[in-house]
Formats: sequence, C-alpha cells, structure tokens
Amino acid sequence: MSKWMKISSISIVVIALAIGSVFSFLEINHFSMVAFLSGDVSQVRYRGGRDDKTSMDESSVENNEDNSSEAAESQGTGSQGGGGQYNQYYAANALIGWENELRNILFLILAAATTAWIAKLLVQFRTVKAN
Amino acid sequence: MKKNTKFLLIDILALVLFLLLVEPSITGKSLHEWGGLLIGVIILIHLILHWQWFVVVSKKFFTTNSTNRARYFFDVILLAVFLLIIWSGVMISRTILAGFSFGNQNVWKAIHYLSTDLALVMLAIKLGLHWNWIKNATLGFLGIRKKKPQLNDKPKTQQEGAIL
Repeated sequence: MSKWMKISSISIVVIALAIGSVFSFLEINHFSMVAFLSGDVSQVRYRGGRDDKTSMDESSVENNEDNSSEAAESQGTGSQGGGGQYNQYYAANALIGWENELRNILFLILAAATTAWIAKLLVQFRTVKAN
Repeated sequence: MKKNTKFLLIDILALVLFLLLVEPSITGKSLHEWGGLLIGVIILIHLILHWQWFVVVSKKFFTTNSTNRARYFFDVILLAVFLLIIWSGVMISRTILAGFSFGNQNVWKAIHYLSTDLALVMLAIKLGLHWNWIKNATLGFLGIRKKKPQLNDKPKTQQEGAIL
C-alpha cells in the first residue's frame, strides 16, 4: 500500500470518528443551542436536563426556588440561599451527568486527534510542496 | 521537578477540573461554583508559566511558522472564552456569589452554557495543536522515553526553542 493510500484510509477513519463525536456532542447540547439560535433565551435549558430521563428540570427548580425565597422573605423568615432543590435536581441528574461526561471525553479525544492529524497532514503537504 | 512536568501536571489538573465543571450534575451547585473560581486561578497560573512563550510569539507573530500562529490564535480565543464563562458564571451564581449579578439572568445563562460548549471545542483543538508536546511530556514524565518535549515544527530562533 502506498504512503498516500495509507494516509487517505486513516484520514477517512479519523474524519468518520470526528463526525460521530460531533453528533454525540451536539445531541447533549442541542437544547441550549437550538433555543439560543431560535432567539428564545427563556427556553434555554441546562445541558443535561432532559425531560425524558428525569422528572425535574432546572427551570422548574429555579421557579420553585425563587417562589420559596420570595415567600420566605415576605414572611420575614429569610432565605437559606440556593441549595435544597438545586441539590435534589443535580442528584436526579447525576447519572445523566456521568453519561454526558463520557461523551465529552470521547469528543475531546477524537476532536483533538483529528486536529493533530490535520495539522500533521498540512505540515506534510507544506514539506512536499517546498521540495 | 522538571519544568515540563510542572507544566503537564498543571494542565492535567485544569483539564480534569474543567471536565468536571462542564457537568454540574456530578459536582453539585456549590462545588461547581467553587470549582469555577479555582479554575480561574489555575488558568492564571497556566498563563504565568507560559507567559514567556506568549511574549516571544507575540513579538514574532508574523515571522513565526503557521503552526505557532494557529496555537497562538486559538490560545488567545480560548482565554477570552474562559473569561466569559467565569464572568457569566459569577452573574448567575446562586450560592457563593449570590446577589452579585445584574442584567438578564437568562441571557447570562445562555452565554454561560454556549461559551462552555465553545470552550470544549476550542480545548480539543488546543490539545490537537499541542499533541506532540503532550505526548512527549507524558512519556518523559512516565520515564518511558528520555526525550526533550518538542513541538511539531522546529522553532525558528534559539530563544523560541528554549521556551517551547
């Protein structure tokens, strides 16, 4: 197999993996991206807060948190600060968090490898061109 | 401790911390916010350790090779993105810096989330551009190969080479 055949075949594999990792990355983040791109910032959701996997999402926690703080303040009892319900929310999403973390690491490794490979190819092309 | 080992350990610490901070459901809200401030300090240390490289490449930006220019370009953007993440994080803080915020919370949140996504992409590119240095420094740290870490391209000047 010639040198360029090897480079081409490895490039195809690396690019395929990179595309796969980008799709994986987009899947965990598309809520925030879609909401932001559509201009409706009030609908921007927490990265891991997918309704299909958990009964809680951050916006509902936040509304409850705000309401309870306001109620506490109006009763003169003071607020305990952000804590209780947020912790419940994060506990409910911990598994999703680890799943997302694995995807992030996979994306990071594959995207870094792709970048390194492209940089190496560019240096090789430059060397060949110079010679 | 060797200079490259020190650089590598700081970078590994920053990377692990960043990956944990990207998913607050793992750390919880309070730890996420404390970690956010801590990563700001680590980025500052990283910047101080690599300041000489930054100064040299800044001075020779138009004469250095394109790989170094790409590294410089992405590093500066990544720094700006990290500052944006930390600032927007402070604005939406619910525990340690609660009450410090101003402006529209939803906008700050959108900025916080999107800049985090962008940072992850930029970080992957940064790792890719420094791949050879990371590989050699890791092998040197593990004692597998006693080779001085080098970057892809030979530096154009002796001073640049000493720093890189």
